[in-house]
Amino acid sequence: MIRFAAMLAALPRDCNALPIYLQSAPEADRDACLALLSGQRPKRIASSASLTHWAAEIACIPDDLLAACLAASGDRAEVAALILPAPTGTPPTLAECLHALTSATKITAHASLVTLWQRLPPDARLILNRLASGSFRATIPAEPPAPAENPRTILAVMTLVSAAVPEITVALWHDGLPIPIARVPLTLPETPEILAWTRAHAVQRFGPVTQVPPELVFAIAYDGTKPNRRRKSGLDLISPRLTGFRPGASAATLDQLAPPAPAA
Amino acid sequence: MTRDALLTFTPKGIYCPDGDFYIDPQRAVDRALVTHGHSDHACRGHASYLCSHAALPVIRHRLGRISAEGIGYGEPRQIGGVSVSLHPAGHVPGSAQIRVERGGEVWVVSGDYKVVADGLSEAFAPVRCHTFITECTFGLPLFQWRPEAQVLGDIADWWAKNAAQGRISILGAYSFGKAQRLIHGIAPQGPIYAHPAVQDVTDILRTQGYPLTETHRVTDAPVPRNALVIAPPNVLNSDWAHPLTPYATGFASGWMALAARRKAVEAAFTLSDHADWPGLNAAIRATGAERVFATHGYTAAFRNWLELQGYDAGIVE
Repeated sequence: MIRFAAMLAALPRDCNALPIYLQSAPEADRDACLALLSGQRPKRIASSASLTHWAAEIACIPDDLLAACLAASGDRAEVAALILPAPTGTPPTLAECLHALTSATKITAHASLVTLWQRLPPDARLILNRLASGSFRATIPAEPPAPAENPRTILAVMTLVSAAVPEITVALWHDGLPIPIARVPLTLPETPEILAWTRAHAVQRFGPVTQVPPELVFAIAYDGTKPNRRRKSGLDLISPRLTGFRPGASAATLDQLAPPAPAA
Repeated sequence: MTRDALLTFTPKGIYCPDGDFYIDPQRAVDRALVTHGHSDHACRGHASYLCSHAALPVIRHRLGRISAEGIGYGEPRQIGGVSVSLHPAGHVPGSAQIRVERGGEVWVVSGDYKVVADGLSEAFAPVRCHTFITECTFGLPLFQWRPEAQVLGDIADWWAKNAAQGRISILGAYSFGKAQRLIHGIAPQGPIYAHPAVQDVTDILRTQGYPLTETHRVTDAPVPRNALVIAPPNVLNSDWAHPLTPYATGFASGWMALAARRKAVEAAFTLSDHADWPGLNAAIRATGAERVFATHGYTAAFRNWLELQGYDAGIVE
């Protein structure tokens, strides 16, 4: 299971990860891997909310601390994987894990998962949790590997800051108003300065989130857009990420957001 | 805070009324005691600075002409009505916790700290106190670090694999602290090169006697394909990196523990210069403190947790 999780982590950037895994994995694991990647997944045995609840119980984590973990991670399966104590004992194979999941019922799910959790490190627990809660997604990269498509980049202005995480919301102008287009982790060397600026320029606070004047400009790379009618902007950016701080750029001259396409 | 508290929390930073000094102040003050040289702790504009001997050269390098003095770890210094001493925090070379004592009452300000020794920074030393002011950058149980040797081993494997494919490995790391920890700790798979910002700080620390493997400054001259280049994270995939094509990029940070953060980078390595959740809890226990204030991080959640553990807990604000 550990090697299967490592293979999945490497898959997006290493097209050899899968063939190497298949060559060296025991036969039962190889069959299990091929079945999973071709879409045959075990039925869901527990909700992700149950997983975090059970893991928090084992790790003795109170509700408000668990809530803070969920806010920081945004992913219940990940929280359940990370908060547990370090593993002990022989780690189970992929085939053993799948067998435990397929033979579990709603009643035995708790006991089955706890036994597996105790023997797996966090990365492998995360994959197990995704399989158990029905949120496992894995895609085999297109072959032969296509040349890296030049990701698109836009300049956008920071409007909200979550200092604890830290994470920022960035916006584009539309009719003179900043319309949020993405929320991205703040992973820049200038982070301390940006947080200090945020403290000094807070407009108002909503719990851990601080609203700031739309003045600081950032470069955001993304791989494409998809329509989303629940967003003010009418779209989601695909894989948005922060690529740089542009201290010299004027917030007034940003790209304008095209009006959202009329709903079909 | 009561009026005669040993340390008080002001908009400029943590203030000691009896000694008339601030600790890591965010705005210009007359007298600043500084825990270490990172820019959110050692700010510009103070009339005088006091820090550890070991922290001083980097602080001078970063802040230019300042009036500053170094002091040895554990060396007591009377300032006004209080006695002050600095103790290793294990965060980066020269980093310190600051102990303040008045009439037998002891407060300690942790600065940033890491409890696991990295072989380069002076190892964290717990200091007994009544009141402990602790950072909590990674103060959630999500953050539990793997042993450093495993992570450094992963980085060496990544470097070796890139070198075998003829690709330079560019590893993003903050230019003071993380960069030198990597230079010191990664088993060499080829020559190590450094971005000028990294090389400048590394040269200073090497002159101070820190055991740092040889590194070469990245200039216009060609860089060998089997090299590891350590650079500040903002230059990854920038014009600066273009002459190094073809290259692979990686990023070493505690934030890489979260899948959402890993998405933004090609190769992610979870390596932090801050204490993880077990480390924070162990460090706080080791102080014997009854009262703990949380700062820098998940302060609200961490304060509640400490209260549940029986501490008189608060937040620096």
